[in-house]
Amino acid sequence: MENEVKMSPKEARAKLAETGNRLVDESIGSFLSLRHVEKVYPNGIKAVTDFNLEANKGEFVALLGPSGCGKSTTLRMIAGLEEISSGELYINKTYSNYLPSKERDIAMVFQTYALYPQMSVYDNIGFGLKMRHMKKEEIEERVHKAAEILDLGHLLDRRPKELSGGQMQRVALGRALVRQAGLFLMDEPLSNLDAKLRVQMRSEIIKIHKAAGATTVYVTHDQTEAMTMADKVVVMNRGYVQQIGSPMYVYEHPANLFVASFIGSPSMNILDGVLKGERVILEGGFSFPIGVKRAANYRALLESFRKKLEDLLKDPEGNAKAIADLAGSLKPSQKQEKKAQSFLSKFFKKKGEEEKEPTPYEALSALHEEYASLKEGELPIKVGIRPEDFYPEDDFRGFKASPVFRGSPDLVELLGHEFIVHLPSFGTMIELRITSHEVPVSGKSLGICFDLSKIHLFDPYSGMSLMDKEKENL
Amino acid sequence: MEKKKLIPLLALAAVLSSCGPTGTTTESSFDPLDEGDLVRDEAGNIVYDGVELKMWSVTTGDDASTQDAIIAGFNDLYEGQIHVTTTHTSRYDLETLLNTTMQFDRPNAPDLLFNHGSRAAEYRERGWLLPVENYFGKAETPLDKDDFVPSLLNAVTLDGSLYGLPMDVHSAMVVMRVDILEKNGYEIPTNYEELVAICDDAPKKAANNQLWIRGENSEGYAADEWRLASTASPYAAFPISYGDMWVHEFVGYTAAVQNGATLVDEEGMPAWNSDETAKGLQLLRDWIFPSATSYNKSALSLDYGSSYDVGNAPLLAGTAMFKLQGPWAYMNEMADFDRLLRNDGGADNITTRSLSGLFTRDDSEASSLIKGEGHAIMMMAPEKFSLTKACAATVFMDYMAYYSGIEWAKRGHLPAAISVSNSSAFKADPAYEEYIQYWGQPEDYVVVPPTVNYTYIDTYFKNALQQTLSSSYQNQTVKAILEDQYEDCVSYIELYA
Amino acid sequence: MKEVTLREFATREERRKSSLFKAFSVGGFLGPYAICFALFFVFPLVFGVVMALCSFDGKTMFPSEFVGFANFEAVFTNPVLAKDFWGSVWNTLRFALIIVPLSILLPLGLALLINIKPPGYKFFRACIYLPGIFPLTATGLILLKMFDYHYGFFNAFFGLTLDWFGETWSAWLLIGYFCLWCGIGGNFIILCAGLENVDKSLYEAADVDGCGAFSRFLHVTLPGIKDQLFLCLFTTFIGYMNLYGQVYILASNTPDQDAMKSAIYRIQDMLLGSSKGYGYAAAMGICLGIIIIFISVIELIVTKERKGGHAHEERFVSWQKSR
Repeated sequence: MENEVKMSPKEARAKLAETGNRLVDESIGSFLSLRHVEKVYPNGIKAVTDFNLEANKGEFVALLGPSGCGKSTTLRMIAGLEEISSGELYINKTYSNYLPSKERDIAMVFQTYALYPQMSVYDNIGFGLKMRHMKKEEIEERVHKAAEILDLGHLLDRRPKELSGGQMQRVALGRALVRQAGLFLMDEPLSNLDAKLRVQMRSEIIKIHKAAGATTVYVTHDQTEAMTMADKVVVMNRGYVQQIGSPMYVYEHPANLFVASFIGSPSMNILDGVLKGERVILEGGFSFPIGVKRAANYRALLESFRKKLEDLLKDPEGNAKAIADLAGSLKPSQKQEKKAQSFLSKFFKKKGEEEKEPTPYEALSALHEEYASLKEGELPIKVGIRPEDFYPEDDFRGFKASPVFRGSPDLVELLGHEFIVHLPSFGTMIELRITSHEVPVSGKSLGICFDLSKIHLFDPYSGMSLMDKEKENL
Repeated sequence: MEKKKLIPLLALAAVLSSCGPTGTTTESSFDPLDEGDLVRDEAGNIVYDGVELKMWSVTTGDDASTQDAIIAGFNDLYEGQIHVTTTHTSRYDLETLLNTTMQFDRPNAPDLLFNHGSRAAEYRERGWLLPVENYFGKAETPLDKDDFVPSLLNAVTLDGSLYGLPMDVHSAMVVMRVDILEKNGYEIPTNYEELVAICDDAPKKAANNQLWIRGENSEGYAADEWRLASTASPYAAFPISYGDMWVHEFVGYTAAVQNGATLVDEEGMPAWNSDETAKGLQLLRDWIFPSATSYNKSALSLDYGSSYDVGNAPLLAGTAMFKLQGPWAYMNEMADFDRLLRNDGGADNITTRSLSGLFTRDDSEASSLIKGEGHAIMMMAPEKFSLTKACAATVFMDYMAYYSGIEWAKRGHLPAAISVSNSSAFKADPAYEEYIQYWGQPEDYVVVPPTVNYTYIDTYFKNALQQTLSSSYQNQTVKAILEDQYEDCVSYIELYA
Repeated sequence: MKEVTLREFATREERRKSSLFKAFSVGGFLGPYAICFALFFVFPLVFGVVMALCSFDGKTMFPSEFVGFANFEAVFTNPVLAKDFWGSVWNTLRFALIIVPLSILLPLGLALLINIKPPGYKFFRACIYLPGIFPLTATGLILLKMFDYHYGFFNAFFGLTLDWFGETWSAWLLIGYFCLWCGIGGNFIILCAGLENVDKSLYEAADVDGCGAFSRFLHVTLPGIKDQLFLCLFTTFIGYMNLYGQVYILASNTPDQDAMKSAIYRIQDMLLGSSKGYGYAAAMGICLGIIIIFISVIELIVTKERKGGHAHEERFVSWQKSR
């Protein structure tokens, strides 16, 4: 850790000059490293909280989340278009918080393509190279290569307004490609395209990513894109990172309610219930066993969280940031709500309601109270079951069948080889994915069971997944 | 589609509207035996019963108020018989107004016009004026043509017929600081030589730190404190500039005519391209830019270029002894000095003189001439002629010529009727004693002879004057400048021939 | 009477009523404007051409004597007319050549500064536009007094002895200053609006591509406001070729009138006196108009968008083949 050795300012200046006035930390293994990066706007709004990410060279990282979750802001911080309020950014081992964009060895693809309207496609692609005073022959070589990869040869003389959306996007990609930069940053590049083109362009982007061998950070709100293209998915909500992992891992082991309900289409069914002994009882009385071990783990989970709160609350001033962060992260970990509040109701909010925003300390104290008052006999719990883990009672194909329950479908959607069945049960509407030779008929009662080995259990207060914690403890 | 339909419609409308009233009364239609709509009483005198006359007047501001008071006197005298209503419009608007009204709105045209006499020729050429002499005869209003200043009468006499009655004449005049002149031992100058003598001597005195002046100035001197003129800058006693209205309306012409020039020849063409005019303009050029060959050795005025009203500040501050001013402003000058030098003579510290004799070394009949501008009342040719109205108009014109008298003279307008200025009533007014008497005899005043080309003759003469007095034209002779402008003037006149 | 079926009659009637209604609505909306347009634009234009081809002295309502191209001949050959008019056109042209670039660059600079949106920028924006709404004569008179040779504030403050309105070069300088002072507001507003509409992500792309501030201006800002710049160029040039008010107010007393008068001033001069030369004035006006149109067409050609051609595509193909 030679960066931590103390020395006189003069020596420091000399040492820095050795590495071209850049702070280089050789101990960092990854190509792109963000450590505790946060973004606070001048009006006090916190857009990104405690963002940590290590991306290796050549990795394709997707920042995934609903709109307003801070993914674009994070990308722009990496690009240098937004200031980093706190935390550290290392690009290729170099401390880059304050480097201007053009010195960060990055190439960016914008959502709106941002092509220079008065230049031809050739000039658009070669513009960045021209600005770096590269020789004309070399620019031509690189542009031609990129044009070949992206099949833009016959469009080189055209102006952006003479191109279609897909062609414009390819030009934007070409512009990033010729730079031969170490880091590609893409800000929802496909959201302006129609569905079919999107599929086509996904493969183009992967092709380019492999051809360039560069690390790519890709922002999107479409989980399909993230799941199909990324090596690593970063799920974000409201500025908080919810989970980082490979697409498969995040799908099979969601860390909290938000990730569970965000990933997967149709989304995971979340059911309210209580844990009595080793049985989970859902609304309506239906119950099933989860095993003694698992039940004990759940109780331990609740207790550990309660303890964590207690410890934090003992020292309000000392733990102020931790308290604030934890309080802030509670809501984002919950299942994403559909827009319940209408536009007009905002105007008719009663006066008293505005003042009811609790401080982090108050919020956590109240939560601690909740935990402390939990009765041993009846512990609230949330159960998550994916639609494809439901089977008709006579066609169970899973590992361990649950008891059968009956229900009448409200709506049956035909998708060709399978059906999406909307079934009101357990006090809510659940969606099932059934492949069956028998067509479910709406209104006609159906016997359903699910795979007990595939259920997910969540703490309703913190939103945390038990399965995830189990895996951690393994 | 819409526009294609509208154009022929509009054309039709235009054609229809041009078939408006065009008939007017002209001189050839006067029949001395025709009684028209006259009403006579048993004695054979014309009875005027509620005759309404409408007059448009070019006077504005204080002049307008004075004129209104004079006309009110007439209305009182002829109450129930003749009533005159006056509208005042400035001369810039009046031309356009007349143009549009006489062409397109004849019913609303005025009966009488109080305007500069020099306009009469152009109006008559357009058929807007009635010859007045016949109606004076018909109404038996006395008309003694010999009693009027010849030049003024001449200005409204076209082709031998009288087209209006001259009312007054005015020009610029000179205001002099009597106190400074006396203090330095100078007499009030009566001609050019005496003026130059003073104006050549004063700078010498000033350079030798011997010239006494007084006046409020920026260094904090009060108006009544005597001080010595500064030796730093040359003393120029009589400021003029080509930007000044007094110079280009009056002094330029005056300098020309005092040296014997004629302004317009018999055919109405410009005649100011002559040696006499050149002499006068050269004198004015020497005024600002004296040379080895000029009569004055020092400049009588600094080069003020395009500034105007250049004499006001220097006269008040004492850095000039003379200035040009309009006669109507003299009362204000007196009031100013009454206020400033309240304790030391007040308005007695200034006096006024006319331009007579000040711009020529000649001693001839012409050297006392002053070029001025005169008003006249003209009769407009109406749409529907009324003999009663025409006769009533002559009564009014006669009244205005003879009874405006001293009040109008105080506004700087000397009466055109010579007997008026010789009358005892006129001379008895204290104002006459104080200043009006110094403004010369009405017979000394001349105006530009009548010509339809007045605008061009006037514009190009003023151009020549301006260039003569400008420092950027010093390398051209006065004759060359006059020649240049004359050529252009004549070319433009011939364009319209 | 020819007999019709009910169907034929009804369909015909309905179609007729519907087209009548449409015609009325078109007429109702277009009508007022069409009338004004015809009255104040088409009619004077046509009348002007008619006047140019007739000898008209303003003493009657309409010109009566058709003289063909005699007026135009006079404008070109009559010594005093030609000298005065074409001299004034040359004056106006030279002045326009200097002031039009200034009239566009200055507002551009100001618009760029305001685009940064410093604190109080709304106030500055209002101040820049404000001079344009004051009446020309009032502000012109103030300028006359301020630059008076002997008593003006400007000469007194700087200790100068310069007859601003007496010399031609200084008179033109002041006319230029006056024009800029009251004229930049218009172009400024247009360019401000243009700058706001430049896509922000283009600036970011330029940043990532490595542009410095000047390159960014050259490659993103200028092309982005190209349309507005061209608009300003056209309108400003046409406006200044029609220069009159400022010259009349400031330079009427300048001795060398031949060097000061603008084209419209000379045309106005035709209307002095009682015999007004409407024919000559109209002919001059048409000549001036043709010159302005000619120069505008040149501007149009120069600023036209050009198609890309095929140069790059061909080079690409040959590069591919050579591999």
